[in-house]
Amino acid sequence: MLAALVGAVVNLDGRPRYIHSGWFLISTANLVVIVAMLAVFALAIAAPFPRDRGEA
Amino acid sequence: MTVAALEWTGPKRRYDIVKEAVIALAAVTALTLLLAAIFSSPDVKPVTVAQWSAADPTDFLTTAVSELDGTSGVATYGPPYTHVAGAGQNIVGGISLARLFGVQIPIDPARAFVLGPLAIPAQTNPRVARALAVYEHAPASEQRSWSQAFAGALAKGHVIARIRAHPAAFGPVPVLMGELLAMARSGALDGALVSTDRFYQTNFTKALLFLADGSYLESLAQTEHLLGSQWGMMNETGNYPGQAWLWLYTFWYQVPPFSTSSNADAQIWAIMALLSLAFVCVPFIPGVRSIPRYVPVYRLIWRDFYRRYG
Amino acid sequence: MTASTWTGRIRDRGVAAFPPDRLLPDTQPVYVASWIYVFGVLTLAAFAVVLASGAVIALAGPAWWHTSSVGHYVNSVHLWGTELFFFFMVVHLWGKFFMAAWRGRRALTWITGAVSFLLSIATAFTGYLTQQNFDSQWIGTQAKDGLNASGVGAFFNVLNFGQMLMWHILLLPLVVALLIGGHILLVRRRGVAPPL
Repeated sequence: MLAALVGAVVNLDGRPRYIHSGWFLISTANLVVIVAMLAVFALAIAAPFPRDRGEA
Repeated sequence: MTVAALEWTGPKRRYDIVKEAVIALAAVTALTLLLAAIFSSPDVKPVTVAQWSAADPTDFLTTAVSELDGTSGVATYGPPYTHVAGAGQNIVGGISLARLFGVQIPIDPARAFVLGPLAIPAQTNPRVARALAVYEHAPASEQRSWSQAFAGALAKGHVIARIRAHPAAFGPVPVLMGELLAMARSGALDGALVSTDRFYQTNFTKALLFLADGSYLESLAQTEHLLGSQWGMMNETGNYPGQAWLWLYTFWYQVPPFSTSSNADAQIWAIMALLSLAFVCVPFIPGVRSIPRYVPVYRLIWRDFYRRYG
Repeated sequence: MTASTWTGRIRDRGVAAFPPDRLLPDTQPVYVASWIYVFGVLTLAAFAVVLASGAVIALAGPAWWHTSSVGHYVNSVHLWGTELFFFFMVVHLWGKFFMAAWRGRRALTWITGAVSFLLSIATAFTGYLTQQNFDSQWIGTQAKDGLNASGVGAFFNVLNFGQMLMWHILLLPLVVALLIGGHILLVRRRGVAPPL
């Protein structure tokens, strides 16, 4: 019941959305995942890492 | 590199491996539970033979009769399903791993998809039993002529009128096909295709091969962008992310010469096997293993270290 | 002093290779200071979530999630856990590549990681085959051609649900788990690759 309720918060079951150009075709969902992966990679490298007080 | 170099003797920083693992597990668990709650997961109902035969009876009958006369996808597939001289994709020249291993999952299409299932109603329906007996005892050339006539009538349309005009040309095939269609619509064929004489069943090879020989399953997949020519291996039904990690494998199918090659599967699998091996062996491949030196991402990662100690 | 029993020898070698402070370190070389270093443990955490959610599905069997809303939710956890697992693993992989982390007798660490990635793809693929829905039908009937063309299909039948379920829930996860275990032990044994 609860699961069914929250499961419908964002419905991804609709008509598929795709980006199509010549022989290139990608689903919006896959594109979002790949772009997010690149963004997280860039962030992981760029974001400052907390300094450690106990450094010897 | 000496063994001594393995051991870092320079400055160290405080680190708590257990705390890190616990925080990571808690964070990832929470994130997964949240994503699952927000986005759910796809579950498009499986196609049944009953559904197929009701939605597109012509496609169903065309497929069934092609199994009977040996022109279907499975009948002409070759190894590992059927013995067809020369069938099986080649990697290059005449080299075929499919042919090397041969027929390991033997399928007799006419028996598996048509004659076998029809033996069930034949036990209680004398008309079907007679038609089945006539067909089975006829010479192969006559069987082929009947089923080809039926396939031709299906392709041209107005099947019933054509059969009434020249019943002899079709032999018992109209009775067999009519009964198979009735069986399919009732759902009985779904059961017959997976039933064995051992009661329990976990193998759906026959039923799936039969479904795949028709064009109904493919037409459903096309609307979901799941065809190989639509980068389908990466995609999922609806708007869910799919197997994005298959992008390179999927890519080859879109470009020449593979996009038009009848040996595309064999060639692309060979390429991917080589690339996978190269990926595993990156540390030993001159040039590739030096890329990190020339792409100074490492200078960013270790910028703090270089600033203080470099 | 060398132990004379098999047990003793294995114990001595184990302790020599993995003294307690190397197995469970509370310091790291000072250069291990970037968010890129957390993607290994994030991958591991996602793997744990995938195993746990898969185990819950296994409790009630492969058809449960089609008829139960709780089951469907657990399936969603299994799916999104897998998406995160690959997400983190790929970021981890990119990071390790650009750090050339195979230097200093660490090639085997790279190899075990790379093979884990490839086998994880196979494991996810068998998961799609055993969903018992339209995806399984379509993916199975399509994928058979590639596998058949490569000769693998003669023995690894993607249309055989029982066989694929065994590969998905036992054989492949077991091998992936063992490889990941070895991968982590190698990282502990060899330490984190130093700056270029």
